[in-house]
Amino acid sequence: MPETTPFAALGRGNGLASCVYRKTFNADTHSGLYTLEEIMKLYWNTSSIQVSVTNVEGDTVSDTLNYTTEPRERVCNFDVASQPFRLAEDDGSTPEEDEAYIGFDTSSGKYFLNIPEIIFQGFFSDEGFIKSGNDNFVEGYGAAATDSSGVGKTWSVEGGLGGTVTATIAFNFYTY
Amino acid sequence: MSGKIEKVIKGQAPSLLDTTKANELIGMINGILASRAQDPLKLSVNSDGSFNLNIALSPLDVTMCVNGQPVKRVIYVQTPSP
Repeated sequence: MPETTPFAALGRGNGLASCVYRKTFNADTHSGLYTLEEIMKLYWNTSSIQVSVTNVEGDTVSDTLNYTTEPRERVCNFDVASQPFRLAEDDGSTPEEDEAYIGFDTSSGKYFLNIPEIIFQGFFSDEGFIKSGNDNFVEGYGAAATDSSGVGKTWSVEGGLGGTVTATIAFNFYTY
Repeated sequence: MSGKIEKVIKGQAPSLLDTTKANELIGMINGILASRAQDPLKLSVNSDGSFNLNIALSPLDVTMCVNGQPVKRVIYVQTPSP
């Protein structure tokens, strides 16, 4: 795991670099539920995401998405290419479901992620998609991903060309 | 140190031309004198009647987003009581 420099950040005063929005958690389309400690770890410390997909023919494709933005630089919440969760801007409005945001489920007192898509290289160099939630592909081509990291919860993956049968996803983190 | 400094009144001694500004200053000093022990500002009185003002704040390096760029800044935070 890559090592980084300890830092302190004020962020939005909630442990994160963006506002958190009160919404109702939906396991089909949201990833969670997370404690504050877990959601902070995902936002600030994710260094890479490993994804693996198997299609109906039994072929498997894997990709690793590396996020090189140092955790301390994520105070600015920009640049989707170098950090995994570029969230909707805090413009005073509540984000829609087609925008990336961190939600807070009041009934459980826990947090969740709404991520419309993270792109990886799928079958035959086609675009594959990672989405938050267990069932976030309307055409049914995706599959709920088994998370081996123990932190990332309820994600679904679609490997591009062909149908996706099974998928795994794993989050790796910066260490200090 | 006890009591508070009385505000000056225009036209009465001590003669100060800018009484508004003087009262602002006096009000500020009275605010400091009224600060409580747990506040960041701490006053101690010397034997000659003068006083020391200690600001119980500690520097903390923080990373902030300024104009879209992450930059380091130093802020001062209240030192926790032992």
